[in-house]
Amino acid sequence: MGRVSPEVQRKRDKRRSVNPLKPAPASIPEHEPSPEREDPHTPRVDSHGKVKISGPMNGTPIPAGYKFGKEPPPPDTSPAIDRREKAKSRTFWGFGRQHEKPAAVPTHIPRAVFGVPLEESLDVAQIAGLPAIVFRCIQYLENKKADQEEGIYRLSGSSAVIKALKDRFNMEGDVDLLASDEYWDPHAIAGLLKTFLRELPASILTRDLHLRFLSVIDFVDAQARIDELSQLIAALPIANYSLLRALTAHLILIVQNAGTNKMTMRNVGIVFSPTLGIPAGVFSLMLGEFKRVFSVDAASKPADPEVDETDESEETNVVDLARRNSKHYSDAAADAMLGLAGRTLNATEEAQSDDGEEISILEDSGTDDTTAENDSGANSSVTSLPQQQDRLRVTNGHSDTPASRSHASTVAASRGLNIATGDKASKRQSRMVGLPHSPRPHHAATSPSPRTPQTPQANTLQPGSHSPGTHSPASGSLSPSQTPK
Amino acid sequence: MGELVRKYRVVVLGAGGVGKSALTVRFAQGRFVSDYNPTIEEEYACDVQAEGETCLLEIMDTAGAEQFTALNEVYIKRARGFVLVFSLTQESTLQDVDNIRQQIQMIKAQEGQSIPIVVVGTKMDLAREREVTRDTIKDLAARWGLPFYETSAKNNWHVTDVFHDLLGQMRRRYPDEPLKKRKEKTKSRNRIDRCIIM
Repeated sequence: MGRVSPEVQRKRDKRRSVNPLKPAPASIPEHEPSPEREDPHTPRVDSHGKVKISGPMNGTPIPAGYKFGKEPPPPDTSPAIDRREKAKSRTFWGFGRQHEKPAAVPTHIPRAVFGVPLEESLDVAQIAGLPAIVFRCIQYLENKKADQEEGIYRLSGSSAVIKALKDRFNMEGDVDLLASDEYWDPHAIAGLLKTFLRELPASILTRDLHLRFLSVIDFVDAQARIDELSQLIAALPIANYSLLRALTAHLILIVQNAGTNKMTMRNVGIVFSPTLGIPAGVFSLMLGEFKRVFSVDAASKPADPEVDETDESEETNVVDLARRNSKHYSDAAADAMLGLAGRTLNATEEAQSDDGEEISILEDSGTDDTTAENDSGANSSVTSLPQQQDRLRVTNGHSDTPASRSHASTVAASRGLNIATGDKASKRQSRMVGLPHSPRPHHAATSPSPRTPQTPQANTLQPGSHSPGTHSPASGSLSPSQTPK
Repeated sequence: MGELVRKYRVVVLGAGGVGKSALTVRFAQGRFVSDYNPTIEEEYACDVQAEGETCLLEIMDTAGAEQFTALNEVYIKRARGFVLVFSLTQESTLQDVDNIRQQIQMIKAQEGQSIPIVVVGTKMDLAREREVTRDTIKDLAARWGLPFYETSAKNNWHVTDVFHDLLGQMRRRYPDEPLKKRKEKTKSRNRIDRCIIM
């Protein structure tokens, strides 16, 4: 088909552009890509026959364009598949999209990996199911023992170095940081990774699930919270799941060495919560309950429903889903390649490393102690929860307020008023949310979330919690609106 | 109560972990914080005597880590004076100061005149780890036309000088700042009691 002259080809293109509603016939001969580039105003015809306005190619993100990244992407890009479609079609003006082999794409035109949707970044360069940039950063930091660096992920690396590396990744797609003889400051690499995450145009939790992720902490019962989080994580697209899981596994190492690097779970949470747009409380839960919420062991289990909770069909679905994500992830072998396998946060380690900060950490898993006492018999499948309960009780002993609080709620609970706990849970959690939970998804933060208006009220309620007898009935009346369904 | 004071709002900006909070708390509360807590946002208010007049300084201590840079614009718009902090032990943090400095000048450009800014190098006591030489500082001070201070919050070196210099600049720059009723507020709002809605 190479015999078709450029002139003829151009005419064909014109003809096609005149009748944009007609889908491109499948038999259009292959042609050189060059002529169509001379006609940048040609409308793009996609497979559904809709005309799209062609965008500029290879737009480089504005370096300081944080504000742009913050804006929600246009509504039509919401489903991941749609976005992937677009990412694929972006390379060309849309002509002969079905027929162009990737090899026909001029390789010298660099495609940015920063500031583009995750799928697009993966499309450019990926290793083990992760964007190459993410893989290389984690690989470097793990290899260079960044977990021994004080203030890793908190201190800022040289912005010039970060900028230079960012440009290189945008140009080359993948840069093997370990291969070069150059030494990179771990803080710069950490900053590079954070920059990438921060510049993702959409929430890593996906637009559809983001709000549900935000309300995970509203669950009073610790087990329910973990279950909900597991389900949500299982429902993530594999790309998002992989990135989140590899990152979390990597950060667990950082937190495990908090004694050296001073980056406790709380500190890592403060730093990453705005970077990822995940509330600090939810992020801590991901770190602390890593194995369960990411269904880490699901991949190794056979696919038959041997787990008890698979009675309902929906549950089965979720378990399968979790297993699928986890399986995909294991198959991609990111853990093996990065040495992330077997990571888990030991509750006692965390407690030790945190010194006086247990209370703030408690705030995200705040009600574990009391609620778990109520239904301790119910959870037979708990793995790490008992440990955590111990820790919680021990730390409660250190300070007056949490202890009396939990006493109050225990008393309330014994009268069947679980809500006293819930009330405080929302208060604690609103403190937690005192951490800016997400600068990015604007709608999420400003939408009438149940906890926002409670903040002042929670403060006034605090003294009442010391006298459970009077407090419990009052807060009991609040129960319907506050208990999440 | 009811007393009228001039109120000046100051914002402390700089890279993560350089010691913004240590500097601010040292000045506002006279103590040295040694614990390792990344700041989200914290506000302090304190009285400062200047030329026989009591002024109220409202100091906004910000999160340094660059993930919050989106907020900087808001801070800059609201503030009269700026303390730009870098660490004498980490030369790269000077870059961040330069970036913020340019951002301030861009945002405040329409106001004309000079903007009250003080640049502060911290951790002066860690002489062995020092990376930023005095020559660099002199050079930059001349180039940017800004006063530089080398401080140690731990040893309380030159901390008050920073804020007095800045207050002086602000009083000269905004001589007509209206007298306001002093708010009867706590000295420092604890971040735990607050909820930031973004």
